[in-house]
Amino acid sequence: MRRQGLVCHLGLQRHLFTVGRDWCRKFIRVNMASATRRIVCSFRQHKLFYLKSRLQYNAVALPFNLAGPYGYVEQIHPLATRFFHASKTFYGEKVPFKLSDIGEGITEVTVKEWYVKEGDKVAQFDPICEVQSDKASVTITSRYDGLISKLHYAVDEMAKVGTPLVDIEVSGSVSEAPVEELQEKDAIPLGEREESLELELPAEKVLTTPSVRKMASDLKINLRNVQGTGRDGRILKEDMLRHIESLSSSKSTPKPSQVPQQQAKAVERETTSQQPSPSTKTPQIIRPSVPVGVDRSEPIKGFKKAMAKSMTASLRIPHFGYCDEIDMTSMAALRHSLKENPMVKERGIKLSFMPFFIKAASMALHHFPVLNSSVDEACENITYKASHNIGFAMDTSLGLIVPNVKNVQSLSVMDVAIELARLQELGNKGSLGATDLTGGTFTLSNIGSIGGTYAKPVIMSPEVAIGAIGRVQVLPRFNSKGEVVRASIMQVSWSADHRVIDGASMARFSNLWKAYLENPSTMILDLK
Amino acid sequence: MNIFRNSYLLLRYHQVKITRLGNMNSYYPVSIIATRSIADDVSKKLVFISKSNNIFENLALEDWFYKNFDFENQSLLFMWVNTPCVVIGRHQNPWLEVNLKNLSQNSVLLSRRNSGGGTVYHDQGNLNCSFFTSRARYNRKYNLETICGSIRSHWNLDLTISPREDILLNSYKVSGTASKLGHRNAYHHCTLLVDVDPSLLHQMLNVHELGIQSNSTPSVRSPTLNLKACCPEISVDEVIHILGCYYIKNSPLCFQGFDFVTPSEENFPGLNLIKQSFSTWQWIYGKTPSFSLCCPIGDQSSEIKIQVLNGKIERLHFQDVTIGKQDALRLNTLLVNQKLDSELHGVISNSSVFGTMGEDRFSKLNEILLTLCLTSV
Repeated sequence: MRRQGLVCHLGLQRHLFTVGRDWCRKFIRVNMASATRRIVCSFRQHKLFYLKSRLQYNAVALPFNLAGPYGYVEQIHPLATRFFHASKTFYGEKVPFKLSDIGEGITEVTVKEWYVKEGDKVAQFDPICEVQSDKASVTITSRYDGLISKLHYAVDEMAKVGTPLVDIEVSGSVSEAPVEELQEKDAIPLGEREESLELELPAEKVLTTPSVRKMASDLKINLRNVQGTGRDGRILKEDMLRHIESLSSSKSTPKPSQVPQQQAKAVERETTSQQPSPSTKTPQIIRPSVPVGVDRSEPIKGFKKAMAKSMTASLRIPHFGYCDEIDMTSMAALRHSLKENPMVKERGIKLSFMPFFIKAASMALHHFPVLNSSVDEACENITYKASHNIGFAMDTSLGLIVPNVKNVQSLSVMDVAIELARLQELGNKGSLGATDLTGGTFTLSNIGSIGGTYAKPVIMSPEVAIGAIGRVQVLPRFNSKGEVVRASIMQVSWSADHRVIDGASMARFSNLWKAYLENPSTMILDLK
Repeated sequence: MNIFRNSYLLLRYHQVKITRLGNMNSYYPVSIIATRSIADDVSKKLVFISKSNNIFENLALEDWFYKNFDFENQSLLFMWVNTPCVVIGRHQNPWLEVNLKNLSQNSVLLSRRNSGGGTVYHDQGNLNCSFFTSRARYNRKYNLETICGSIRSHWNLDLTISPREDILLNSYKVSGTASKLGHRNAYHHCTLLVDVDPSLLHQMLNVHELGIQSNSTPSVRSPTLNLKACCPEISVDEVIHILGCYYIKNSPLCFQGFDFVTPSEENFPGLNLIKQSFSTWQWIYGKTPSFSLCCPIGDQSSEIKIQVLNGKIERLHFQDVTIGKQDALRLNTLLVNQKLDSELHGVISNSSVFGTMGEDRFSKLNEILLTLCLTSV
């Protein structure tokens, strides 16, 4: 007598079926909360019930050993056979939980202790194991709820970072693996405000078919006002027609006469009751059918999402702009001469203008510390930051990122150049760390390297000022003698937070920065 | 910026004498540019100094902070000093690392901490610093630079950081480091040898070779030096003060002052439970990773292999036929599944089993077992 039983998950109702002479009452609850389709089947002792089932549910069979006095499968009602299959228990998807990066460039760790074993149930954030890597003992916690199906390493084995550590059978659908928290934190956290701001997205995000769009544009109906009943809120043709009907019923005036032929019949069908028989015939306009391109929508992820988040935060800062022009002739000559200098050559660093801009900004910030400050969200406290962490905008294939050079006040121009080179290399590879991306106190954006003169840069919260540097152009200018000379002119546009910075401070700071760059020997005077 | 710093240098409890503050206005050397700014983001920096000298209380408090504090917007420097004790790492073997006999003779406590790393000896001349941050802000190098910077600026001692993240003075080790990372919080703690008794240190950590084979974390031994040897006017209290000031240096508006904390149940509910769990045999000896050792029998030709799991003798492998079945059975009943503790020590010393089996043959085994059972708990 085989003591095996089959249990069928058929929904919340108790569907009973024959399993032979002996019955048992076994009420099994499997994941009641997560899936409405699963669960519960019980079969009562000494009673026969016919199976009534809902065909749309998937039958998930759970073979279990009905030991003891419980029944055995002998005969299943013919109706039921369609819905059973004696497959192995499955909870859900088997997801390999990879060993995430521990940091500090560690590639291998030793598994020291397991807190779970195969077959154990785990919840999210339950500790799974303890790994050790040269003095750091790390507790690895689970990312998912589910059942541990396989442990890939034994105690004292070396586990490689990035390889699967355990396999977890996840109950229900796997939620999107939470993006490394560090990255999300870099984008200025908005929290609850996100939802309300997202409503300001442009209209093409509404899901519809091209024909419905055409209808809407012809009838001058805003798609946002139409209630969609299709999948994911899609607006179907029926919805459009219903909307039109509701519009025409609310208005007493008849529809405008410019109705294209394709939709004319549909409209007439719906509105014949309201519309009076037209005395004037509407001219039938024949529009040739033009193939319409398909709209493409994709979720905003990664750098774009970070940029969107930080920009919406920046929007709440009252900006004011201040622009100026800088004569870069002496600076260009200095740079040219330094390029030939053996001291620069042997260090092997490409000396562009940017290290000079950054260092000059830092020197000017010494005199105007208010520009290197940070304001909290409610604008109640201002923190004057001690270190000048000057960020510079970098355009990579992934998007706009703003790494910063730390403590420029204690770096020389050469050090800044070295640091810039390092950050640029990392940025091109896409491997900038959180250290480099956070903690900035002031930003310079060299949009001029791509092009442009004047700009209106957006301040990166929680900073209070930003500068955009334009292109260096050779233009005619008057010198002190009144002669027309060629000068390398560069425009700079500053934006500052008007809640804490006034125009005069910004202007004076800009003048000082300009003075340093127009006459580089003055930088030596303020060298520290 | 300097005015803010000076005006906020208040101490809530004036129990630490304020001596010259040294050159606090020096700029930082270039080597730490990459590591300084993470903790600058933190809006709140706390400094706690423990009033207790009991290793178990301090370890329990450290664990309490790790499990119960939220370090999202704050970070904490917790400093503590203990009476003489030895602390082994989470996955270490006390029999391999510590001389248990000397330990009991000098009434030095033995404890196991929660973080990895090697074995250290603490006494009143040793300062322990635990840097608590959120997981994202964990940065060992920054913490070590804080310590080096503070001591360097005040006492002009040339401290450097080795590649293994130990602090070195003239290539002698003055500090050991270990850390624990969890899902939300992380801490990094290190010792600082200010004025430790070197003879006791060597006595405690000087182990006779027992031939233990294990996968536990080995300690990397290095020659050590006290800071006091190079700078006679240094003391633990002064280091506490200077380090604390240096730590909160960059948050002038958020300086809370130093807090002296007493690890007690009223202040930290749940602390007693943690303290008790740290003082049990189960934690100190029972958490040892499995190990084995071979013991020669008689004339060195045959061996008994003792396998220990979780601090208990799991089984005995008799790698020789000369040991009779009776003897083997007697040894098994006496030893297998027994915890290696003082109870077993008493049992073995009082038992006549070895006598009946032939003392000469099993003298080495007897000796080894007695050494293994010299546990303090």
